[in-house]
Amino acid sequence: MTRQKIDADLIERVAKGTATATECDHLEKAAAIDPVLREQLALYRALPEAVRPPQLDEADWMRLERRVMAAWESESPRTPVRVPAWAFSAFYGALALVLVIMGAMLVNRTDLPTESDTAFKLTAPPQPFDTGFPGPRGLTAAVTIDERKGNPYVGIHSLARGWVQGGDEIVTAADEQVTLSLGKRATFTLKAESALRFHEYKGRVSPYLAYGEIDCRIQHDPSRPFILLTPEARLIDIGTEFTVVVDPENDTHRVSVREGAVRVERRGATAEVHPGEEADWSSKRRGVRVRAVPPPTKPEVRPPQVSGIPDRPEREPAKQPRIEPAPAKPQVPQPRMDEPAQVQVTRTSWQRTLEALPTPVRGRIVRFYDTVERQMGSGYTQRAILNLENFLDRQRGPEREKAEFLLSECHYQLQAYAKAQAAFLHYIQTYPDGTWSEMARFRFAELSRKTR
Amino acid sequence: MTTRDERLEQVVVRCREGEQAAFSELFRLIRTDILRIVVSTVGPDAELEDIVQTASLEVFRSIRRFKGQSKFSSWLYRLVVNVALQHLRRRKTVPRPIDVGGLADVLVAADEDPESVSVHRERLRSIREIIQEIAPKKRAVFLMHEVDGFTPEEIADKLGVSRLTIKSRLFYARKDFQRKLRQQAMLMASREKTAKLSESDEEV
Repeated sequence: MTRQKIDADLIERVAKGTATATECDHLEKAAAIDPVLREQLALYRALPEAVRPPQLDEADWMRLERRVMAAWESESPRTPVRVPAWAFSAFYGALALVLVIMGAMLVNRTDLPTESDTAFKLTAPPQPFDTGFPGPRGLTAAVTIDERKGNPYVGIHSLARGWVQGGDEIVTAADEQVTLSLGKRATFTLKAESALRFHEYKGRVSPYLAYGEIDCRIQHDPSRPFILLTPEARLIDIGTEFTVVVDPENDTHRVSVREGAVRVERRGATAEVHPGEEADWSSKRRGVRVRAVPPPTKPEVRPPQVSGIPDRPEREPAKQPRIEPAPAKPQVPQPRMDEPAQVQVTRTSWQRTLEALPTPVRGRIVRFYDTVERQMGSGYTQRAILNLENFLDRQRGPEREKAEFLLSECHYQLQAYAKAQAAFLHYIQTYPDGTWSEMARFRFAELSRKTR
Repeated sequence: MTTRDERLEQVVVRCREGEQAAFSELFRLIRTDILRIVVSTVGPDAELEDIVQTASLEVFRSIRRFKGQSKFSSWLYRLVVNVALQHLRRRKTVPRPIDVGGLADVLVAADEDPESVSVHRERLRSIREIIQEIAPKKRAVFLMHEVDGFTPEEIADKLGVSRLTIKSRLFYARKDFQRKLRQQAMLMASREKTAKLSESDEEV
């Protein structure tokens, strides 16, 4: 019997115990003088033990069962409740009744403006301000940042090119301030803890003060009024300088005029505010209240307490700048359209990654991540994992960063700690300075402690 | 039909009707089967518990599609094998955690010879490495044949693949295994020889 024959068949049969006695003798003799053969036989005999399933004790099984059931409960839909047929009729009947009542209330509502409501109509139809010219990306408006204090978040992706579009925003934190020029005639100073967004409004890009305080200097042109939007009203300039404060939390909105005049328009009411006057309005009452404010003894304008922005220290009223006295002849900075604004804004690596993407791709990526985060939030973690893995299979760019992190988070949510740990480690190694690397390091350390 | 099979049948029916409490019971009934199938497919792995969890969830999700046209065990086998193979495919992109083993791998019982125990553990580790090096599909067939003792026909039935494909996979898997086993045996034999030579040098 040759060595080859022994290697191929005999060792296996002897190891399994299916060989004949003669074959066993033959192999034993050969193995006695050949250490390689002896080792092969020993390895073959160790095969069943090597691949035997590990013995999990009851505590391990219980732990695994808890994990499985938790994951299953998080992804399984609620057991459908069998609703009797009459309940459907009753439900739809009640719904129809409610809709009818609401419709009737809407029809009979008196405070809504109508076509014949002259108070709501503009005395002169507003002409487009010099914003809102159609560009390659839709409506855009020229903007430059003139001065910055602190490091405000400027969510304007195209700012380096000198224009903004609907959806862009600037948000300042405490002790931050930004001065910017919009178009050729408007200069704003956005004070601390404020948010200014840009909306597409009636065919133009209009600034919208979501909350906070803004100081405006407008070069007035009667044929082309400038409009500033706020949550409760729109302000149309007749003059040049005014300050607007919007505090949605306390339902306080007011405008004070230093020079020229401002017309405040809101549902069912309009009012003109002149220098030395202050107008305020609220969502709970109709109309606009105008009152005179003596400039020298006027108490300091209390800054709004901004809601919706967590983790920001409360603003100290003493440090806030008072409304600045108006210069005799306002110097309106000239727009610098030829030289794009140089903005040094600290943004996360993920924001930079998104900005670098072409707009259609960015839209798709953002929508994808929105979907995945929604799935994760509503307990469909396995579905989110599937989506993320498909995404990671296809995408090869830096836009994978968030997917890598979310995948780790999904495993963590499912209590697949070994997987989660490996995934977090992979994320940390791939993106050591990534947006979520600190969180990933924390998770990794936490899992290391758990799995120790 | 044994009592366990009857019980399993009842639980499967309850699960298909959407009774949440039945899933927990189902898990307790099939957990060892799942573990055995996973081990026989992917071999010894540091992530066995994770694979068992994924496979269990997949069973829960798919239980409504089980029509009872085949045996539940066959259906379960095919499903779990597919999950395990999917896991192996995915693992290429995610680095594996390092399996440092448990305390039992370090300690030696008082009545055991430490040297022989060490050699035996080395052999087990070598075998596991060799198995991990075989391609996943071939490995699954090889382990089902070697560990569970299934014939190629039974494996073909369980995996839903033709008998000839299974035979081919088994042939190549065994060939791979034998080749690597011989290489490993030569390596270990040479180590043993070197150790003996160094011992004799010390004696001299």
